[in-house]
Amino acid sequence: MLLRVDKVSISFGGARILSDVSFNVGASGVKGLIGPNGAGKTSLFNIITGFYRADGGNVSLSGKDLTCLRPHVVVRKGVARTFQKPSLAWHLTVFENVLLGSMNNRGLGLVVRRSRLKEWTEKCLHMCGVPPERWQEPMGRAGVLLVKKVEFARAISLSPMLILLDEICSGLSHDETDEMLDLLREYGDRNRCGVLFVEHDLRAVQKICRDVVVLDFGVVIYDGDIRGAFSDRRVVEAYIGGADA
Amino acid sequence: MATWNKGIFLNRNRYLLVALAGALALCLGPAFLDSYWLKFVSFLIISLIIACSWNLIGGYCGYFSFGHGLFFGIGAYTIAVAVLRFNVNPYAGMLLGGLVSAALALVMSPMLRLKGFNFALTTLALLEATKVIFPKWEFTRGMKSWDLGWSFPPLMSDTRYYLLLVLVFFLMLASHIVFLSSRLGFATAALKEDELMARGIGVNTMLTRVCAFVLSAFWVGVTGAIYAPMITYISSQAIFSLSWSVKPIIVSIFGGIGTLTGPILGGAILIFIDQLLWERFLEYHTLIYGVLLVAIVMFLPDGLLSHYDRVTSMFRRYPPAQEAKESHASAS
Repeated sequence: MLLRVDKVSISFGGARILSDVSFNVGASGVKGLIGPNGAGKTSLFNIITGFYRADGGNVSLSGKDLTCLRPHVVVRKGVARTFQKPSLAWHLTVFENVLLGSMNNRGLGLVVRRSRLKEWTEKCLHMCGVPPERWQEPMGRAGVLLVKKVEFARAISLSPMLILLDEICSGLSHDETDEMLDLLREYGDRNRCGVLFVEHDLRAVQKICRDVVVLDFGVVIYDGDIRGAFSDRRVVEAYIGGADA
Repeated sequence: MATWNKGIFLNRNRYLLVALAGALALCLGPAFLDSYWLKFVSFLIISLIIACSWNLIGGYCGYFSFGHGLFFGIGAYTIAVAVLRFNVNPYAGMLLGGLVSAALALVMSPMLRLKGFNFALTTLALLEATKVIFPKWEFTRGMKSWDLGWSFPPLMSDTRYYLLLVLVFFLMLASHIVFLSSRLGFATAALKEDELMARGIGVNTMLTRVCAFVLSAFWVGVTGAIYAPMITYISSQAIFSLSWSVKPIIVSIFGGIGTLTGPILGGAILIFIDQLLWERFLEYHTLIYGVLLVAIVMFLPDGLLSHYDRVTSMFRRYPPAQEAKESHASAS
């Protein structure tokens, strides 16, 4: 088991955002994390990556405790993430944005040679299907698909064991979503890497995930095979409301 | 293909060579300059060192320090106490000035958890507090209500001070070039763009800020320690003057904040203009200088180098980054 989330809870003020959330993510394959707006998906991401400190519970990666570690330490332990609202260096070029990630990849060595760094960054951009003629494009001019690809390229430039993707397909058309999913699938097949996939587009979730965790009001209401999720009464109620609603 | 000489990827060797060539050219100064201009260029170099050092934390990391005059003053007082009270070698005293300033910056580093105006105001408050403490502290020759200050005997000739400043200027630039082309330099680039992003890609944001702050304070301290014996007398009111903190900010903004050459270009131009105005319009020079600064901020808000970038962008495929960002913002 790669990631183990065990009874994680967090409150903000008087509001309970997550209550005893527990699930596991395997060392390969894509696991979906879904739920209606406000279910606590991004808060959970923030806890796993050290941006928030949980009130209780534990998070561990390959048996190593991640709870209460700071974000940069979590990254060094092998967790990369993308953000719901793309968080990129808009003043820099496409290439430089991925380079920023490569520079923090400790696997390339403590003192990295520039040629090595350049090769690795180019490899990541190739893996994400970004053609060389777009590498010098200012990030601020990039379209949505390129922005999403660069975010993913920057995440994989850290050579993570686990990637947390927060709505990587939002804002993409059906064709673009399919292209993004193909990239994810191809990367997952080539590299042994677990993926936790938050997405509102359930079509995309069904296409790429084998397992899914469903959160509603900070509580896990389903954890299992994707095929069983949409026939589960609690999941249906969470999405479209109960009979008494 | 990626362009390695632009953007965040500094061509370290090329920049080091340019800095060395510049320093060697400056070394020829004593052969061509009379004592008045030699002194003027010495003061100019002092201003440039402080501006470049401020730019490391203010420009590259986005932390506006209004207290860099504090490190300058601490450097000056350190050499005064070391040389005049403990008979330390002057060169060792200069190094000590830098080290004490760097140590002070390290002690102040928890302040780097503050952001924006809070950080700026805290550094300003510390500077003002020091102005009150030093005249009351007997160790620094304070006399409760005022201080005696420190008078230096001549330690070396003006030419030697000049050459020493050129050496320090080169070493400061070299340290900045090495810093900016290292992992920490990339971290500052990420930090300046977006702190959330920087943390998300594994940057230790606090360590990055502390390293930049300490390195910045070190060179300002060394410069203060050279300045004190050069002008032969220091007092707390003059050495901790706010102008030592504000001038580097003005010249950095004028030249181009967060760039290696911006503060040098801005400092050289502004200080020459100031000098010319002082020579020709003694009575109104501050007024004219002030109006000029307002005009510069209005017409070149991003500094001279951004203007250069705008002109050269006409010959490039993509517009400069600022325009790109604006276009992205308007599109979304």
